Amino acid sequence: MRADLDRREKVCAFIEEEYSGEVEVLHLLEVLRDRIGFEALARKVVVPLSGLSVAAYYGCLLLRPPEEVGIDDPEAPTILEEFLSALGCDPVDYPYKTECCGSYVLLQPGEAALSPSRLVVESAKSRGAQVIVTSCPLCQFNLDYAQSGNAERMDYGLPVLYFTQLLAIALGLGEESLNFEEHIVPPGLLFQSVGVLGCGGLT
Amino acid sequence: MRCGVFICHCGLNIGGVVDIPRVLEELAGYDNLEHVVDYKYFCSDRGQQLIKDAIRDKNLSCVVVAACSPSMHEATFRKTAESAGLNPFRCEMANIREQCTWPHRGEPEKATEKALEIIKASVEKVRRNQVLSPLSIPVTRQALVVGGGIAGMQAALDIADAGLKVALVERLPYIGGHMAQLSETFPTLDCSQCILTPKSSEVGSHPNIHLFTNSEIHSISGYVGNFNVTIRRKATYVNWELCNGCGLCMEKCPVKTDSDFERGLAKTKAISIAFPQAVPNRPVINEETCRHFTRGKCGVCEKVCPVGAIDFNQEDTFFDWKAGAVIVATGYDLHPKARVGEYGYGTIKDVIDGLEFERLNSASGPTQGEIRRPSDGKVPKEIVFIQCVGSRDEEKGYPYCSKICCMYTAKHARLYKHKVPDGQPYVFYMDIRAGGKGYEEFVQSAVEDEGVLYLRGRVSRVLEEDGKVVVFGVDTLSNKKVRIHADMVVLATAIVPAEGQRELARLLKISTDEWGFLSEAHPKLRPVESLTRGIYIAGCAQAPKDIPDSVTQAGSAAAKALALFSSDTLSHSPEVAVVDEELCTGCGLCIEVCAYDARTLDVQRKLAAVNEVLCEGCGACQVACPSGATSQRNMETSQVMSMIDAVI
Repeated sequence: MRADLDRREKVCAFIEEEYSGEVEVLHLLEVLRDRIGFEALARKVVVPLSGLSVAAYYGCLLLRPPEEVGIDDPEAPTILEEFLSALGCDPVDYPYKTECCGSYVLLQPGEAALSPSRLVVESAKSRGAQVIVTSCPLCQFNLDYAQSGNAERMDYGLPVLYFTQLLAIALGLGEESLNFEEHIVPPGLLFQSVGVLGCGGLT
Repeated sequence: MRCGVFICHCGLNIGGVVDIPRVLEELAGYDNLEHVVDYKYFCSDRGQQLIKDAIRDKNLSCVVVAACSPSMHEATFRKTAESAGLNPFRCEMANIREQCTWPHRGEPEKATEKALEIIKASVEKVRRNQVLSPLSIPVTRQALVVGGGIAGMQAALDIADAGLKVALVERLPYIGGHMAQLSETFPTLDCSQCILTPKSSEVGSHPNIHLFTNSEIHSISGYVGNFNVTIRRKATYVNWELCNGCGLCMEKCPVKTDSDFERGLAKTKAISIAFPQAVPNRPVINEETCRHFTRGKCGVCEKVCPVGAIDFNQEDTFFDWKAGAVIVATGYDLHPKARVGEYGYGTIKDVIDGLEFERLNSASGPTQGEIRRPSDGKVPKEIVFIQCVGSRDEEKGYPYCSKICCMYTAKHARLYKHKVPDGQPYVFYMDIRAGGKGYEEFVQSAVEDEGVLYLRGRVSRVLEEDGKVVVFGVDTLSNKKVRIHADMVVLATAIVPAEGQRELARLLKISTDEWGFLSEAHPKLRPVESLTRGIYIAGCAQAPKDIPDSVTQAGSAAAKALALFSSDTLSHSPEVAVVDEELCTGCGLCIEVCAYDARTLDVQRKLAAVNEVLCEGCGACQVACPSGATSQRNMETSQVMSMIDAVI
């Protein structure tokens, strides 16, 4: 929008408004890392999540295309792990963290959609993860949905959280903000068992 | 001046566009031309004879050949003129092909007009040309070869065998280059060391070769026939004259460090000889790892050396060398590891590159030639080779093909099968490029006789999982996704120019392409010459190539140097800049604009001068000179003005 005049004209004509790209678009993780700083974040933590093994899952949304987004190294990213460390968690390393979750192929029936998500969940589980954290709502849904617990979708019991949910817990926000009842694999019990939540949201 | 004009049809190139009868007619009436004639091909024997006859019969004192570019045939026609008794600098080309009919093919009338203008301008120029004779340059009949790999060794040997002296400068402590690291060579599978070591020792002992290892070019000045080189020999901290190569120092040295020669797959000592057959067979202390240098104490090698050869105070030494010709054969490196993250290159231990696999295969390598994977020493039962890693990949690497990978991957897969008969090699490829004598047959044999499984497709990702290296790829022939739980992966990473090649090119004032490979003067007709006269190129410094091609090119570069040395003097075009000292104010503008370092300033006399040998006659200084002191022979300002007058 800033550099391409033709495109700007087209977009403005469509939205019927003047706009020349002056808004800087940032990801919340970037704000936390670059504006607030992970060290400052660590000092704000009221409910330390120490001892919780968390697998960071990147998928594609956060990192690609690298020359446009440039948040982190697309092949070997670390921003989510750094975020998790700031909250006191133990990040789990596993090989599938930047693989595809299957994206909207999930809407198609059959193996094609399921297998990518399942590989990610299996791999995280085998490396001892207690929970997976994503930075993309679709990844969150796919990895969670892959564990629906029927014949095709084996339940690994691995809750999948959007990273802000974990942030909310660490910063001491109430359970009402977490919307755990929307999850397929219920996270409540896990957090109760590690003693960071008073009662399970929906178990 | 009795001027003749010869208009060449160049078949239909010119004759099919320009209205030749009209040109003839118009020139017939133009300003006292003595002779105007056309012919289909003046560059042919018969055509040249026509020119010679006309010069003699009509007693011509200057000629214009209206034909192609002077870079094509100026030399031809000047020789023709000379053989008919005319001074060759009284023969000019009027370029009515590249600069007229080729770009104006669709507008013949305008092309005819333009051809007439070009010819008339050339006539005005040649009528004012002086009689000149070529400049003579003395030639130092000895050479410099930079780079001691197979190409540099071959070039040095060819020159030395012809009886002339040559200095061979190699950055590493030993000669042989990457070929010394190879196990077997395609397509014959003969042992690399067995064919290389006799050559290495010949280079090491040849009376005409001055070998400078552990050395670099410190500075170079001069020009064709007369280069002055300073070679810097880096300190080895071992007096090689005294050292007898007993090896006690290496045995007792307490510091273990990764061996560069073994590409990190084995350890070496801080004082070491890279490999047992190295030439020269003398150790070098690595000051980055040696305890004496890092911690200021140790000196075990000094104590055990029976001949007192260790010298921690040794300094770099400098040698002067005069050379008439320089051959650059600085070789290659592989695509950097950090840039292939998706294949785990540099992070997963069992993902290695082709040269590392060579070391695993080598009888003198870290595993004595047994194929064992780096992480745990197990024999890999499934092994995946990935071709075109960085090559032919504009997104993440380079657009060019690295040329040798199809062949060495087939070789690797076959050698693996010979050593692990129950193992399964897979090769991911884009296309197989096996052009070369016996090459296609070699690859076919890998597929048909040796059971190597070729999968046409790319690999998207390589992961480490439970002690396996998992390869995600696609087989585009069966249209299936492929996942292989392999034990080891070998990447055919792209060939890139050797580190420091751009800096060396800058030092030598020769050009490189955008990737840093040295540029040849002409891709087909002058493939071993640089654009700077007297500097030749060979091997992978110019472009990726295999051993036979490198050796061929090295021999050709040596032949070029020898041709240069065939006489004590060289001739150089006299059509260069000259300075009228009466007019020169010593402002120095000419020095700034000169691309060839041919202009110098005498500060005390406030006069600019021309090094005629370096001057290429481009004319930049003539244009820049504010006082009109600089002019170019046979391109005087008055000539240019009369050419303009002829056109408008």
